[in-house]
Amino acid sequence: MSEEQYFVIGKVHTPMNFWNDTYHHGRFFFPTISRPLAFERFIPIHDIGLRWGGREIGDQKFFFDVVAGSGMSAEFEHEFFGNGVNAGTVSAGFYPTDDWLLQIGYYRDKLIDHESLPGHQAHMQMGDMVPVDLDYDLWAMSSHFENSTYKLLTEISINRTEDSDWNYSVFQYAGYKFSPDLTAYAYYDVTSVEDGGIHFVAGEESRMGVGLSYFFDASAVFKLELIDHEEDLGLSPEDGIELRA
Amino acid sequence: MPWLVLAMALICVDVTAAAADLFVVTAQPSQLSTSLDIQEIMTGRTRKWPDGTPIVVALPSKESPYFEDAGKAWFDGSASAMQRHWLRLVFSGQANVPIYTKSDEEAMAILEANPAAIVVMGIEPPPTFNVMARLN
Repeated sequence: MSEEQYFVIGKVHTPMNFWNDTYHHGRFFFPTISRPLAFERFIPIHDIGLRWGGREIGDQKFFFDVVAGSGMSAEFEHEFFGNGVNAGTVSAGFYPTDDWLLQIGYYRDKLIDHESLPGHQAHMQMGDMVPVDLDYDLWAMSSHFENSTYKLLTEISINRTEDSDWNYSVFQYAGYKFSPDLTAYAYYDVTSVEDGGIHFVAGEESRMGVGLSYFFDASAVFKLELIDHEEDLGLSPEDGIELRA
Repeated sequence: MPWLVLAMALICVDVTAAAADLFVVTAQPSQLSTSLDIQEIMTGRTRKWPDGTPIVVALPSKESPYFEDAGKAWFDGSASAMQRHWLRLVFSGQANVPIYTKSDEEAMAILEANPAAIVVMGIEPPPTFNVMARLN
């Protein structure tokens, strides 16, 4: 549309937070080996629909995105507005300094036949009173700071479905660059569901890790992490301490 | 004995070759371009000339003799960090792909074809172009 604004039709990465907006599926650029846990439970990675956005606006480099989408139900089936405009994403941010980005996002969706979605987990049976379609609200906040020596990334989200309490996730990463190619880092990653209603099972999952990342060149990277993975959901067989590369 | 004097004189002569200069060149008028920080341009933080024209960045490619020098100058000494930095900007949609040049001839051709370009060369350009910086 112009140097500052763009328009996209099709399958897009939801501009919910810095991680999804910047790294997408680019594992080469991931600060850690795996994505934050919130992407496995709460934050949709994709949507299918229309996206309008702007970048580099003003001295503080303000940016924004608006998405009218098909929602998680249609994304799973790769349907373009299969149930109409079912989801919306709004996000905005700016650079308080050249090295520091702040971003906030809001996602609203109606989970059609929520039990069929990959993110659905067990719930209490309530007979004929169990609704099939659920409203879903998600807020996310990102703070990213990076200079030649340090990298700090904070990703926080809260979400809820109908009749549930607010659930939350926190991802905190801190890296120290010995050189442009070698970084030592530590991170803490947690998702928590107190009362998940009928979509999320209650419980907490967390990962704490320390790691080293080394770039051989512009196309190869090696990451080594020591991770303590804890979860009380009974979903993951990877609970415990592991060394991952 | 004259040969001995000559040999001793040669030993005392500093035979170290002078390091090559690197020129950052643009076709933009100097009154417009000198107000900008070259580091900001080469790292993609400044993307427009003062008149609003998008800057076309041309960086030394891996085949260029100035590839490592560019990394030293603007990317904390790492040329592969320069490539990764721009790869990430392009991959996330934050910047256009920079042009990569293998030689001074390619850099000059880009400069002549695109008034909004900024290039890195190892030779001093014709006086019609503006040298924003000279690095040693």
